Amino acid sequence: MSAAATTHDHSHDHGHDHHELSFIKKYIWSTDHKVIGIQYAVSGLLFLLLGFFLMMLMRWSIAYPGQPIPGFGFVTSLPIIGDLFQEMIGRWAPGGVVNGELYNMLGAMHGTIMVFLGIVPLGFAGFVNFVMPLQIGTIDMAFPRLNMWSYWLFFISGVMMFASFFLGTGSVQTGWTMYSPLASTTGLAVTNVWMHGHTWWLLAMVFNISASLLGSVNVITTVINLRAKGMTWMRMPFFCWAMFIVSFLLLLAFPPLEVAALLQLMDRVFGASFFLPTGLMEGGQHLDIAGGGSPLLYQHLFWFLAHPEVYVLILPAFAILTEVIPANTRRPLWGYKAMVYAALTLGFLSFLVWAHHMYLTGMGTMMSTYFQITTVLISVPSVILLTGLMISLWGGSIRFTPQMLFASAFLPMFGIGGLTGLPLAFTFIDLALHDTYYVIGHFHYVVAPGTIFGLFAGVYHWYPKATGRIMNDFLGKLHFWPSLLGMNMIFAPMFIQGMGGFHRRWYDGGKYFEQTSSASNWFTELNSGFFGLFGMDVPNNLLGLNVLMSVGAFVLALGQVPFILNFFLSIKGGKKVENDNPWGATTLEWAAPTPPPHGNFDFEPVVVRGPYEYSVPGMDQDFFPQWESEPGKRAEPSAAPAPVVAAHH
Amino acid sequence: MDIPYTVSARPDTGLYNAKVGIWLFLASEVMLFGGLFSSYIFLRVGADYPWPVHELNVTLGFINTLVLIGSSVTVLLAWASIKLRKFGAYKVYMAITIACAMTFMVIKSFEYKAKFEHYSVTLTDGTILTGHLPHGFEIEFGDVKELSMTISGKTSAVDADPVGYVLPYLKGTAPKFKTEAGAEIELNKESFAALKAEVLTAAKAKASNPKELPSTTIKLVAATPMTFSVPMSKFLARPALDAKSFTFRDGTSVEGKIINDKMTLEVDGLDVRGTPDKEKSLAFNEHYLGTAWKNAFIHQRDEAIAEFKKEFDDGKGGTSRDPKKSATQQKKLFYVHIHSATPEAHAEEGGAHKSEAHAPAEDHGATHAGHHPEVKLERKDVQFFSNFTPKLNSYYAIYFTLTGLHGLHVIAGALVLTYFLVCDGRRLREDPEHMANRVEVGGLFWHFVDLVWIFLFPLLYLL
Repeated sequence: MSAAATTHDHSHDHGHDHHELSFIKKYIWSTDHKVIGIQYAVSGLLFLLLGFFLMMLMRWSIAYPGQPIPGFGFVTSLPIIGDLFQEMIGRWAPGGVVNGELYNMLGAMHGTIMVFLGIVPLGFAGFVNFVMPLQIGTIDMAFPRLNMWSYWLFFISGVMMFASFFLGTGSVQTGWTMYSPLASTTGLAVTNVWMHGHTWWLLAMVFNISASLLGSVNVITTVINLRAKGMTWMRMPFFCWAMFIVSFLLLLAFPPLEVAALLQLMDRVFGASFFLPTGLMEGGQHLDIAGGGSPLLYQHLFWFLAHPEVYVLILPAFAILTEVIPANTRRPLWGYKAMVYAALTLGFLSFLVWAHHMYLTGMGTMMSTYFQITTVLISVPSVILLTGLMISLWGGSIRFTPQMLFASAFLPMFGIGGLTGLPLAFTFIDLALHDTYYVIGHFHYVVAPGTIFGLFAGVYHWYPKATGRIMNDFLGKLHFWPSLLGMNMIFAPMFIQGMGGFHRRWYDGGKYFEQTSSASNWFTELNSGFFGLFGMDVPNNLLGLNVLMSVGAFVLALGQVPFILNFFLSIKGGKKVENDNPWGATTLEWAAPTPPPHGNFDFEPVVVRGPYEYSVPGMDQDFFPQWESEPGKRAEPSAAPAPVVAAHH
Repeated sequence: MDIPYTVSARPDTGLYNAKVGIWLFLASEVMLFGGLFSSYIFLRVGADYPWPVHELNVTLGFINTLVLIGSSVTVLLAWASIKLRKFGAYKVYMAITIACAMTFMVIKSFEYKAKFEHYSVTLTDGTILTGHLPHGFEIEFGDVKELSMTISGKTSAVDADPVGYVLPYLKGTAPKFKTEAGAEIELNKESFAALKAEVLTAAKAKASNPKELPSTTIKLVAATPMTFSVPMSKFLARPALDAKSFTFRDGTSVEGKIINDKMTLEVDGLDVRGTPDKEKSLAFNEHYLGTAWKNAFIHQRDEAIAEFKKEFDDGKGGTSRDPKKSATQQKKLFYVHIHSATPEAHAEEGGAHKSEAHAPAEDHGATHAGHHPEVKLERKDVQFFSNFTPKLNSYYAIYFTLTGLHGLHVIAGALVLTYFLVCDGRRLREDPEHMANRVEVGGLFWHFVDLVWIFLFPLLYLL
């Protein structure tokens, strides 16, 4: 810890003098933005792990339908874990075989957990809470207590979501999109509809959305009102800009999803027919409903959120990369202003593209054409963002730290995800590819080796600020390479299967759809031959790719072991940082003591320059921090221009 | 550690934190209610049935509008009083605001209650009869000799619980039951739990995997045949017209026969908008409303047509407006308020004493005897029935969702204002400027709640 930190009145006495008293206040009911950020991040990581585990079970069922999960008997025979596993998964899998019912639960919960409980809490809430107030040079969020409540609301939603596995009905089974009418009418023959996995999903979403709304209000207010002296809008790091825009997306796009959840709750619990058309029949019988509702309405409400949500998932990764890449290439971020405007445009346009998920619903060619145009338009700002990051590499002296490895892998991976999305923007191609594995491949390239790599980069980058120690470099590389390999083994074959017509919701991976799955090409031959080398009998057809993908998932799982070890072992055993700014970065969070105490800075930070002044010509050191008026000297408050006073009426 | 700009405004933005925060929060609230209003439009435009119009009590709605507008004024005065440091006046104004919120909710709850007790029955030909069910509606079936149920091994959504889900609907006292083992038991919580444990233990002994409990069944034979009287919602699935077996909500199934499934309805409204051949509506069958009401309907309709022709005469023998496009006109033509046991006799000429249309349904009190014709509807003629709740149609569904959510906002707002009034006295004395900010922010939220109602009232009550 730096000498500067010890002068701060908060830094040490918390740790020793009233440790017993303060532990709960400091780590559980904390109002400190950094602790809350870490709470979010750790919860997010745990949920990512849970979602990943669900995916592993799915992949097993896809590659080996009808065969018992390996180790099922062993796991269920364990004392406590076995009982939990039996209640959560086992009772739906007689003899350890994943059936369609369980597969549907796994699929729905994998999507929900990854998106709403994994990536958003880690990528947005975790990083923005920890980093943003430091970067804009303030002591905390604008509403610290509200911040705490946001986290605990999110926590309740996570617990409810997880607990829904243990209800009598099991968890929700109708896909993460919960399309009505199916989702409005299934599984209602229960004694108590409130104790239903679906009801809990909807209620958990209401909590989750409320948490996001409060969180985003907090972030926007903080950025608007609490920036340090001299931190003008165009001196603000791109990280804060991106998070600022994400907050607006959450603030304005989430409420319609809340509406969708509420209306579906009305349908299920109070017998309303919001999403149920007249004359709906199930199992050959007319349902006891009034009808007159519209299934299309649900999809509109859902995608009005869920498309901006895609940018909620990807912008935090861009935000992290714009800090990681300049710091590791020792070059300014290329096109900072263009990127800010591109991100703003992206945020705005993301509200106008939602119905490109609905080309197949027959909403009309006029509508389809409109959304086709806006969808193609939105690729422009996305490309500007990616290009800015790519050009930032040019001529840099790159340090291949683990975070830089993840960042540099992000660029082509996100590129693949983005480019494969272009064909889907066009109605005539989408008609063929809708709901196939092609779509799955496309968005997983965006969020898995895209966003999640970005998030890993962020963890490696800011870990030293949070703990005072650097994560192990070798373990980091051992984490990176299998992850990159595994990700591509899982998701690249999906494009081939998807174009072959594989539907995304087959629990048997296509085994019973012989006409589709028996096609072969050079890739399947290669695949079959490759596994043949190991004596595995993998068929030379599209079905055989399932084995490749499932092996990929296993490689990816193994690749996370070094990360988990690294994450926990480095807290005590990592290399100590030598100063507060171990990466030689320019933004304000590196001016704070390490780890930053409650209240953050031990001096009043004043910003006198832009955020990415690396390798300034004629300077000895290759970075010029925002808070220094001349190298090694902090700017005085008088150095900042007096704020312009807003005109009052 | 104090967060900057909690009390005073930041010079360059001109705002203190909470003010930025509340406006952002309200923006998201606009999106929330905007989503619901959009849904209303979507549902109304796409409705494939006559959209209900003019069904709510406008007087009550209007009173509530005035109450909320009044409270918006008083909350503003409360804020101004703090700014002027008149703490007594602040407390009075704040108390009035909270009282207004309570008044609003009380009026709302009366409106809700009336709807819960009022029923609408759609006949198979699309005719709708509204009214009250003096005896409720239950299906009575008898000749039941045994209960059979499935006991699931582990927690399941539908687990047999005949004590909680079957016995409450039994008519008369419960007979003794004989188990399969031959023991005679009195069915209650304890005896059933013991029985359940017994069969589960037996099933567990047979199972291969010790953690997997197979499901098993229980049959209970009654000493004397039983008769049940059950509301429709207590069945797992709606029983068919000639059903011989019935499944209760807990999965317990019984065999028997239907004794009585007629629905007694005190009719207070007749709606033939959805009936293809209106004069031949099922409702005019002799054993239902009969020809007297049919004539009354024809009379009212013809009068309305004549009136319409007179009002919108285009001088060429036609009308300048299409009556089919007016929901109000459709209602005038095809909706009959029924407020007497028999239709009034109409004078041959001019219909001099056509009675005024009665106030809407919510005004009807508990006693109806003599004011309404009573019909006994056969279940085969009933397509759908519900009280005036979200189940009835999308209009009532969105009505309850919108007003319910708005009501929750009223309660939340009132709680916050009550907190300011009751628990924040110290801040008022020691830091009135901060207190003024809080009241201002609370007041902004309160104005928003008021504004939502300003949109809701015309949308639901008037349009």
